[in-house]
Amino acid sequence: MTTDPRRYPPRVRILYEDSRAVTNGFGLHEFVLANTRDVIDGRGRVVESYRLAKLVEAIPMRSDTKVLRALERDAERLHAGRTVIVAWLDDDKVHRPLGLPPGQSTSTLIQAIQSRVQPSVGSNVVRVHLLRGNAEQFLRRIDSAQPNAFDAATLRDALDKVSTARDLCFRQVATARHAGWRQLVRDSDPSFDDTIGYLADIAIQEPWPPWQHR
Amino acid sequence: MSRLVITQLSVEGMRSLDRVELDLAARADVTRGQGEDLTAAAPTVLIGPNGAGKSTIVEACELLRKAGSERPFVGKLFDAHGGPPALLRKHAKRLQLGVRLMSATGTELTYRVSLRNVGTSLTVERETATLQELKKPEQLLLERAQNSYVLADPEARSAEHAVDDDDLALTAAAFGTPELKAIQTALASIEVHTAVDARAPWTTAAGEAGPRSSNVVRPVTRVELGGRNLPNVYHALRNQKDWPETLECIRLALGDQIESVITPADPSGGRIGLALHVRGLGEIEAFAMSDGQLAYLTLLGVMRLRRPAPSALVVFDEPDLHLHPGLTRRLMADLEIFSRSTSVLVATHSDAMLDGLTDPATSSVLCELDEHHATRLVRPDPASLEPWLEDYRGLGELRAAGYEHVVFPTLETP
Repeated sequence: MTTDPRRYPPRVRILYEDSRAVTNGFGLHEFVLANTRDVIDGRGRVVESYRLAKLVEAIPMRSDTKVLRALERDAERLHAGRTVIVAWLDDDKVHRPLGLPPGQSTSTLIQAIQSRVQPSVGSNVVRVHLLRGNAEQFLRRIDSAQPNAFDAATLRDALDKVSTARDLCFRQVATARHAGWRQLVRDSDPSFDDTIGYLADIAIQEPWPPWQHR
Repeated sequence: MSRLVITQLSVEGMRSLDRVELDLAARADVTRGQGEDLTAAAPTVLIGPNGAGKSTIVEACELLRKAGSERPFVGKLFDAHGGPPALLRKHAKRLQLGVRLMSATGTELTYRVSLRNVGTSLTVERETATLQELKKPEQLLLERAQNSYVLADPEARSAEHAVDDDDLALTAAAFGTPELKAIQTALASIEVHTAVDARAPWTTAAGEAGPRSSNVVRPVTRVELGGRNLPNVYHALRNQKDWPETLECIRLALGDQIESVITPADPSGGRIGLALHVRGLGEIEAFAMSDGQLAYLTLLGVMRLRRPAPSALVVFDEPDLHLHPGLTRRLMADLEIFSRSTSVLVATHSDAMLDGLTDPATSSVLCELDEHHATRLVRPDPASLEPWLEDYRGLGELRAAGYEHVVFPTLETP
């Protein structure tokens, strides 16, 4: 057996709460990758789409409880000494599995989520991204950044939680010609912009992983 | 009469199906009289062990299709499905098939046919068709006993009409009664899709024309069994107005590198083939496509092809064959959208497919054998299922963990 030298583990594994396990054509992740590529391009660096998709891997998990469970049980194996984990959760209901009352601040929620991570995993290994509201509300914000750009029927289905329609909407705004639209989305959503900047940092950082070269 | 969809199937005396009634998910709950929109629905997904009756239900749907489209019914039934030994349940005296149909305006129609076992043959013994309009009593449209039938029409009621014992009164009477014609048309529109014949050319005998072969150019009204007419189907799809959306669905499932699906002319003349146009690679002809690519293209063709008249029921037997779990879940999402426009019935063993269900409590039906080797249909208990889905991806992962029987109520035999 030969080993492909390009077959490194990814630098980032994003644990999404909001899709049906691993499904081909996961639109939200493609949108995240397109934004990351934009930011990298903006810094005058180039990472091919194919390579970026290998560097930043999606693990859709379908619910917040499953993401939290993965942080509790699987974080060390997902990290494997060189991979950062991003827990991508909606902030509208995550207080429930955390056993907190509603109305918590973002920092309280993030702290509670971080406390679930296996102790053997370093604190710099897991980042939490709390999406304001949920994926449908995020899609509404994307729509409002550039109104009437989505096909009305597809958007209506997407907001009605039809997964294919949602994937199609995210993919539409992830296409190369909509870089300006994505910039508007990042400008209007600082926490999303921060997380995208973080992913871009990791994608272009050399050497990798930094903690093995200090 | 507006178009009909099938909301319930009933089968008696067919192999393991002693007596089953299958409500097609959510269809039966569609609020009656809501106009043309029959979209509040979900696919019905049959699961269960081998030999529990899933494929027999699928085959019963094909018998119903033949009831609406092929003459003489009994002869056609013998040709394709075998005689009583192949079809009938052991010791059963008759085979009965029935459907309940609903129009967009809330009118309900039923049709039942009973075939009696006479030695090595079958004969049509009884047929009934009824009509129930909103807030009106049920009305008998057709009643057949042995070789004669009567119609509900007051003028024709007194007259008994003769019919051959190997043919259906439904077919004979449909010309003069719009409701019976609507039932016949709905039955004829049933589509049963078995696994796509995606075998690689080197595994098939010469002359076996699967979807990898080129087609003589001709109009299509449906995807043929096994996807045999796939090039013609894609020729038609490319000419539909919604081709850009279809192409997006293909990219969503098979990857962004797919630039188009094309139907190049075959050098032999008068025929077309099928190929994917892939960025950076050029054309991949059907004979070189992967089994999964070909299977998915065929299934998507079923869902996207515009028919002259919409189908009243579309049935898929193990559509997940050849598909990666990620693609299987994508297919499930496609089927959920497709079920907004018609009744969809799926038989599968795929955990990935079950994990893709938005509402497994509504959609899934477990086929089980009771102590008499008779199929019983069981739906999951929503209250039991809900807390499990907090921790498991779906019914498929639950089943893989060995918890299937925790969420399906215990079988109770009469």
